[in-house]
Amino acid sequence: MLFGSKSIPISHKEVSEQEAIQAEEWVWVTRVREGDRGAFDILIKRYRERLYGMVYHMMANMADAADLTQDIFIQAFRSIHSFKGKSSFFTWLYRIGVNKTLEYIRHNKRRRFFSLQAMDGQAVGEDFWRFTTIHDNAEKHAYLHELQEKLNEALQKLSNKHRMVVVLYELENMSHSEIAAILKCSEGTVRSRLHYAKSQLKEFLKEYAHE
Amino acid sequence: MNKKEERSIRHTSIHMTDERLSQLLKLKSSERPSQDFWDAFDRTMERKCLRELCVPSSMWTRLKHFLFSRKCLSSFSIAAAGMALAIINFRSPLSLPQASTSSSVAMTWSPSPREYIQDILGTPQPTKVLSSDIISSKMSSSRYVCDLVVHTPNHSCDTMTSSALACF
Repeated sequence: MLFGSKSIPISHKEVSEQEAIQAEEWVWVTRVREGDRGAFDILIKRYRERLYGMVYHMMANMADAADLTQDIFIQAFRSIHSFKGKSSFFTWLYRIGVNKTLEYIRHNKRRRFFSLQAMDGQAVGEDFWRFTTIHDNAEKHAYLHELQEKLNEALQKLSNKHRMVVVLYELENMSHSEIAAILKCSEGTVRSRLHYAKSQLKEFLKEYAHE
Repeated sequence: MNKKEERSIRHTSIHMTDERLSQLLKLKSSERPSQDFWDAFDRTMERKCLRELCVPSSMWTRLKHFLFSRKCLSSFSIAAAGMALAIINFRSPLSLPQASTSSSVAMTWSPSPREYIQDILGTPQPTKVLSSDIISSKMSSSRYVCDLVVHTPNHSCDTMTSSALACF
């Protein structure tokens, strides 16, 4: 993880790691500004998965998310000269991503259908099944598939701003301060949105709460 | 079951629900694209980047980018503010009571209020305006005050000098 964990206070070591990452990013950005396309490819490779993850979780559509992620990178490439280095490149890129994603969702309100990626069964982990009485692999697979659909439905029921906070905090493991920097709002707003969104999600997913 | 136990169970249940929700949401993180997906992604990305680099943007796109750039917007707002000020300055004499056309003062140039008053006070036939006239007129315009000075020959201007200049 590039940034400090949300639950553990950031240590001096982590701060110096962040500074080192920012310094390295700045080198790549400078090279892109000087016309080095290869440097931009490196930045794309570094952040594509996280950026795509955010866009995908917001839209729940693979093809649209891939397309939009590419557009976000192009937009970043176009406006790389406006990057002042006040925040990390990643925060700057995410800000573009968040704005473009929200804009896309607003403009395509009616064009909403799911196109979900398969879940990586191995990544779910044994811890998850501790709460369930399911042991058979086929049953687990069916359960996961059903749950995936319900989760996406529940997330899509949230308003854009609430969904964004949940995605950034729970799925992208960002801290409140990082989210506040990206969304340009206060940490209190982030916390309050998160609290509201979670209570909504609990209500939507209550049938899965005590499996 | 006593109250303490009941509270403890309720608390555990709420905590479990929070934990469970986080676990359910974490499931979404396991929706990972395959390597094939990323290969296709890279190919399309490459194509889009090349298109961005090779195809020159249209005149309209460049103009749009320029017009909506921060630099352009700030210079436009400064220019607009300047123009608004110029219009206000240009229009202000028209909105005030018109001076007599038979005035001996020919307004071929636009002096500053201070210059205007000093110029009038320097004329060989000084006039007088009562300070009450100035105050009761409720007009803050220097020109109006000066017009009063010019077109009221029975008064001398001695008494108004300090009060009029103090206005500016």
